[in-house]
Amino acid sequence: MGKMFKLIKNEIIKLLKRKSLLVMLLVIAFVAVGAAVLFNYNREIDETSSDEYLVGKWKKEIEDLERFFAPDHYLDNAYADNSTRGKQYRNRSEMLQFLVDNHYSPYDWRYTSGLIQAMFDHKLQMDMNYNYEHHKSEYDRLKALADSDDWKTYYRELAENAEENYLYLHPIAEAEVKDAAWFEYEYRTQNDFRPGEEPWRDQLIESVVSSKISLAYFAQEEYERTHLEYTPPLGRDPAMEKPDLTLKQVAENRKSVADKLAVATYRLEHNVKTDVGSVFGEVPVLSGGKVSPFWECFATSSEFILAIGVLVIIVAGQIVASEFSSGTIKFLLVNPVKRWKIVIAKYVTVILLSVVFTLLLYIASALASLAFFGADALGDVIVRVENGVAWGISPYLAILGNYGWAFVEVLVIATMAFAISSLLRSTAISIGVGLFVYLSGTAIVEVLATFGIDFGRYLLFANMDLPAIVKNVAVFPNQTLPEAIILLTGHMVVFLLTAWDGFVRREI
Amino acid sequence: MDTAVHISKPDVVLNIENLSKYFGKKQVLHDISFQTYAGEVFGFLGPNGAGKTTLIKTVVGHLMADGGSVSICGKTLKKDFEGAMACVGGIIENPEFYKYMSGYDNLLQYARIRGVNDPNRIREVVHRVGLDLRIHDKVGRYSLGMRQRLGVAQAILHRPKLLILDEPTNGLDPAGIKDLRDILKGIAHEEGASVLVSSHLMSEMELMCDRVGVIVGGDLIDVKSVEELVSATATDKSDYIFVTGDGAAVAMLLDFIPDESKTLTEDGDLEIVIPKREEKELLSRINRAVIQAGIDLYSVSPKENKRLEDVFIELTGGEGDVQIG
Repeated sequence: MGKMFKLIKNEIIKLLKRKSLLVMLLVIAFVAVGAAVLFNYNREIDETSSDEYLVGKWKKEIEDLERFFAPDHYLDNAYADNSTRGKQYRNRSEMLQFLVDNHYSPYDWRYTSGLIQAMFDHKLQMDMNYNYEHHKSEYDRLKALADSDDWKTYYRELAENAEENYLYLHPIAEAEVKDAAWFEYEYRTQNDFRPGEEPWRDQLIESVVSSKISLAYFAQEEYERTHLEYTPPLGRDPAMEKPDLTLKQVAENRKSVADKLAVATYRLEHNVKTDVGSVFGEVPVLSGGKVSPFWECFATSSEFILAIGVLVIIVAGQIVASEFSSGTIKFLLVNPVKRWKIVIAKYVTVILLSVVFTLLLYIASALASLAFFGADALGDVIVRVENGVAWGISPYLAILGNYGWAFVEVLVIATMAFAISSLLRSTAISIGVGLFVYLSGTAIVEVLATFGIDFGRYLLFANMDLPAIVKNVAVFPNQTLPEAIILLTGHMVVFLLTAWDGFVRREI
Repeated sequence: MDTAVHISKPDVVLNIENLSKYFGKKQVLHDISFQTYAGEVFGFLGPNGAGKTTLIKTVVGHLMADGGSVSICGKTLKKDFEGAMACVGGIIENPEFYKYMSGYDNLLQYARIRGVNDPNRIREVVHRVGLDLRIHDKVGRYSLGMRQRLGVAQAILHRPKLLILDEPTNGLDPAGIKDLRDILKGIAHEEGASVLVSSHLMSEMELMCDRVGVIVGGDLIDVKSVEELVSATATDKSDYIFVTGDGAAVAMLLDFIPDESKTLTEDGDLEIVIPKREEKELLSRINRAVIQAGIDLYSVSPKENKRLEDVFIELTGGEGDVQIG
């Protein structure tokens, strides 16, 4: 074992001392940076959630509303000014102008919590002379709250009102109602999360609250279904109704709401800004939020493992053959080491190198994505949920997993190049054949599939993309994972036996 | 031989029994058997294509024997390859190294596999082959002679019991050849290793080897000590070259020497064969006669190599091209 370790060390040193290794490392860095540049270039920049865009929308709406009051409007101006709709429009326009004039962000709590909306609702009532004194004092009170930026008081007020309203709607579900009504106020004040600072958190809080309200509703429904006599809606035959089924539906709906609640709660607790699952083709339970281009770019990089395949084929193709072409094989084999140990050491070195190359691409891609798209999203996770329990999976691991699947192909082709290298003792032929098979194999299999030549499913290249086979979206229909694994293993065994025979049994 | 380790019964290091080897249907080694002992330099002499390299490659396991057995230090190649090869160091054909690495890094490769952990040992062998100044240069910049020296350093690194060198003087300058000779003799006579050298340079073999095996056409036709080999065909005559002002005149003058013993060379020098028992007497007579006749006498020198060449050509039946070094 110690000897094997030393043989492998020797092989690694031989590789490290080559200048070509430096070139290979540069290629990896170049691929990682190039991929990020390409991604950045092709990226569609979505600005619909930026402050400028949203404020622009307000300004546009103000213009549209002002047109309603313009002298050349087709309605007579008296109508525009004095009708209820006219007053509503005027009020709306004033509110938007107020927001713009005060430089409120569309994410400002006074806007998102409805405080300003409520202010202007009161103002509208005042303008329409409906209980003027009451609305005036409410307007003033809210305006004072807005001016003093006292969100805690306002959110407390909201919670109190909500509790009252929900209790009226769902009197049975008292616990659920209180939970829903007070969640936001308590969560924010306990953690001192000022509303409007983190839009993603505000959205999640909203999801939690709406889920909790749904739960209160379900509790009420269940109670009514089980304890009160069920009255079908008017005009429907009571015999046709199946209260049991309805209860079942309630249970199902409750399950999906519970999942949603679990995801939102998990993300709030773990400060998960975005659910990156959509990058990996997962459909999030809760709308994931806008995924940072960091993750999209980093995840795309696993496709560039193709370049690693090329590098590994070059190394695998020369590692045996170059000993013959340089004549050093005669000196290598004067050592007290059985030949099979040398061939294994060389193969292990190729595998180690391909693993290292793959990890280097992974790290380089992460750094390149970081350099291009910043560190905002580093803590994001993929959130999964089952039976109301949510947990997070690191996207770093998920991307590494994708690298791992892509690595299967690299491994098989490297083994093939290694076998040719050992059999023919020619660097050029083994690299040439290896690259040809590697770069054209997939295309050949696809051509066979297009022409309906079914034996193509048994070719090596039809069986490399294991995730696609599992999802049954591989080149040929109904490919199965066990078949693919048997085929891959079979090929590997043939390659390794060939390499063995070429190196161990033949004379020098 | 006087510096040889004195051992009552010499230890057999390499034992070859009935070794045969075919390339396809052609038999290239015929039933070869011989032994080499600790403390001796054994030379393989043979013309090109005689099977020297084939034999050496079979001994180190590069080629598989078709019959017979090879054992080194009592371990047979087939049963205990690693044990047997642990006793072997060698240069097979040309000294080839990883050109993009320094000589030192190349040596480290061998040190690692052979368990030589002492850096001083590497420095020691580098010094011994005289590569101290260039050892950290890339091998790609070495001359053939330097690579040959590095090859020797590699071969002796782990103090092998059996040192096998295939044509080791290739590419060495005269000083290098002498250095190599000293190293090999030192390793055999002082460190007690068995050294196996192949060559087609006869003078080299004579100066370097204790015993010589002559191989021709895949047959080992003779194994003898160098003295035995020379005396086997040695006559009771000595051969001298006289470089004088006028070779023909001198030949006429020496009437006491029979005509068949006198030959004029192409350079006009005179070659004279005289019986060994009258050697001194006849030499002084010739000298005196030449000087008295007033002919210039520039030099008188014994012609030695002629004899070993004769031995060789006689043994090999005149086939093959043999260089006289």
